[in-house]
Amino acid sequence: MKRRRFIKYSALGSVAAGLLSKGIAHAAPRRKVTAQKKRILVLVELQGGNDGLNTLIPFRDPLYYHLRPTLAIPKQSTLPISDSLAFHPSLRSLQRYWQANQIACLQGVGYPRSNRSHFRSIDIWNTASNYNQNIKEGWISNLLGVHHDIAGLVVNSQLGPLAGYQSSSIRINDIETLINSNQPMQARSTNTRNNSLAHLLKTERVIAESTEYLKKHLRKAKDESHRFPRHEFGREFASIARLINSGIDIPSYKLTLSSFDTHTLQARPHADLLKLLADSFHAFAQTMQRHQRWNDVLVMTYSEFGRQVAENGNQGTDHGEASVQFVMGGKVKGGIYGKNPDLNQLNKNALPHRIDFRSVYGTVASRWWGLRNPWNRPLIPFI
Amino acid sequence: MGVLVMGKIKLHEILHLSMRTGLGSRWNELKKYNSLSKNKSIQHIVYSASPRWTLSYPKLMPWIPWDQRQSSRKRRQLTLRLSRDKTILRQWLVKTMLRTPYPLTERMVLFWHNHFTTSMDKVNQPSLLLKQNILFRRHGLGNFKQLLHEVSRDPALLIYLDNQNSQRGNPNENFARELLELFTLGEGHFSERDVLGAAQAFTGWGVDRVTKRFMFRRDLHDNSVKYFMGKKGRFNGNHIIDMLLKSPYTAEHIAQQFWAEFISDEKPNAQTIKRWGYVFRHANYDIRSLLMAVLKSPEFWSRYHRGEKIKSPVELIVGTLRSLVIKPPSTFQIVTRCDALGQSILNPETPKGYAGGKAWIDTYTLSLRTQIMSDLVNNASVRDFKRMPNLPLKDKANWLLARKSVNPLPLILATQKEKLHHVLTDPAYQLI
Repeated sequence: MKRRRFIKYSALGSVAAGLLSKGIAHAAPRRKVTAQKKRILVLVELQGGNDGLNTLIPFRDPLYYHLRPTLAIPKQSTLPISDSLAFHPSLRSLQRYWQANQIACLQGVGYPRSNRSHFRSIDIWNTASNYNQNIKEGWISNLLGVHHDIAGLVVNSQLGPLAGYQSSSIRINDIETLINSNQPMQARSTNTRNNSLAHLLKTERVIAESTEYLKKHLRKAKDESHRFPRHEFGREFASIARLINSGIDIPSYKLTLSSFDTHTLQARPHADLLKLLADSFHAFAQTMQRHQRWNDVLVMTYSEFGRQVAENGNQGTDHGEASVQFVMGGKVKGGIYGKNPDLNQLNKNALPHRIDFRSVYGTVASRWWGLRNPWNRPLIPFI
Repeated sequence: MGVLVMGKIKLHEILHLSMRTGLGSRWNELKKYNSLSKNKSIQHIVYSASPRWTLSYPKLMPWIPWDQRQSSRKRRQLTLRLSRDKTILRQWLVKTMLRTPYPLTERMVLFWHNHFTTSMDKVNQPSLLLKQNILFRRHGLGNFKQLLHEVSRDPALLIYLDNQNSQRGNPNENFARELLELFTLGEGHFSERDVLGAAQAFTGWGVDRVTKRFMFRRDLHDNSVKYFMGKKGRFNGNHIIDMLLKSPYTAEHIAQQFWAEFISDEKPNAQTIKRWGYVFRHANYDIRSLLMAVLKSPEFWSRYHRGEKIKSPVELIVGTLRSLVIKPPSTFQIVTRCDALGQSILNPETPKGYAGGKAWIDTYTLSLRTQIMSDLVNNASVRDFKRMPNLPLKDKANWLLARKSVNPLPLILATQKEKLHHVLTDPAYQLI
């Protein structure tokens, strides 16, 4: 494909047209910037704000039981992974990966001056911006720039961290529709003053240039969705596994599990979501192992915020701040990173952050992809 | 250009006005305006829109409280009825949009539903969504103050935002937060303390379990002194709403939403928003006054903003069907196609509603949009084509496109079907 050259050319063209000013600064860096071959990041967005405290449970803290009279998970049903922390019982299928040292639990991840709005907060996570900054480019788009034919692919989810004006990321709904589509799309210049039209033309170009390529590769990989949980999310995970197995060069994937916004009657739905998540992770890990790709993938969860510590009056929890992130993969250095939550020191009933989320992104950038780390934050040695 | 010379208003002007305030642009309706001036046309559209016109309301199952003692068979039946009612209501809304003589009303109903977002799947009670929809019709072009007060007592919204059980000592913040962030002030104009104060003030604003009507539950209400926007007092929900309406940010926030709805997907100029906010507040929140100010503004008519909005799935599908007067596919198909394109009618994914603008278009939805347009043309009958105005291709393009086509026009020899296909699958057709 001649796509890389094409994009660079047209990005410069639009500068000439006065279309863009910001964002293009990343367009033509001089350093070598392709992410290390075959290193893949799979991002799983837990939409709505996952309750970190009921995911990785401080099961020896009496305050936890005191503040959550109806929602606390009884000590005897938790799955302890250390002296003080335990998995939620729904995460049973992740235990073996914990024992194999392939899961890192990052505690207290968040950002300063946390914003409890879903929309602003997910924007911050997606673009790695400061609380007072408004960046349009997603953090992965920004990292990978224009140096990949397809920088990322999302399955039935918002582009989020993969969005950006010059992003070459694509969104699909499911693989079958993709394989059966035959729209004649054209790749042409996106030189226009009308940004909406430019966006349409750019999207057409991405379709024109990537669809055939994807189709060709997908023929090489089998559909293994029967091994995944029988749920939309399981099928989406299976699609990503299939794309990875096809050997196609896409460094990042994203999918979403939604309904984590549990303001009312949280216990049952939250347990179901975590079970679906854990079972899908397990199925994905097994598929990757069978195809000898487990060492090439990094699965990472993220959520716009955690939830408040004391439950509300409706057996639910309201929007909080810091939360827990899981990172899983053959190359992961398993363990618990970050200090245990201190329920005596809350910020308006929420856990303040101890790890800046850009530390996590920076670690992925430099230690996983071998790229320059644009965020000046200490790294976390989970890989 | 022959036919295209209009009287006092130019074709491209009335086309712009009609596409932005209605759904599609029917040729016969455009012609109606050729004796009116620009201002008269605006006035006609804004003031003639009847809030009452709908198809007759669908018959939905009245609310039946869930009873633990019911047999599982009975409960299964109820679930089935509920899901049928949801389909019926979504289809009713689409049919109303297709047939209405007042598309502006439908546009405003969609607009307010996307502002005071409520998802039918979470509320799980279609009859309450119908009630809310009627509320948006009644006040959608009326007074925003009244709309805001009524909406804050709307059962569907209170259930959706978890306020129905919010109680003293343990307020649920969901409704209060969205009230400040999405409905009135907008992000950045309030603090966490304000959210808490508002949440406390709205404790006890709930829904009767049996009748499913709004109910103020004094026993759950927090009557203590609260802090809100720098003030201190024994506020209740009405006080909070009145204080929100005093803030200039509220009017500006709505002005900003109007910008996105009627002018452009690009960011507005701060001065414009200030100006419209001022107009809105000083017209005592009369929605029609704000709309008149927007439609008469130089920004609305600026050629830079023509075709600068990406059509929503409803604008694309319903708009095309209305413009062309071709036999529509089944309403079921229209609803599911809108779902697939990201505008799940009455079921927006997040409380913020559809993101709209460029977010409508990605590699998946753009292929699908083109496919749907292509199918519409290919399935149109000879009769459908006979009904269409007999225009030369260039005029047809001018009639249907908000800006000039990207693809070169086909040869004169092309059949009518080919020509229409050409216009509808052009990237410029996605713009409004």
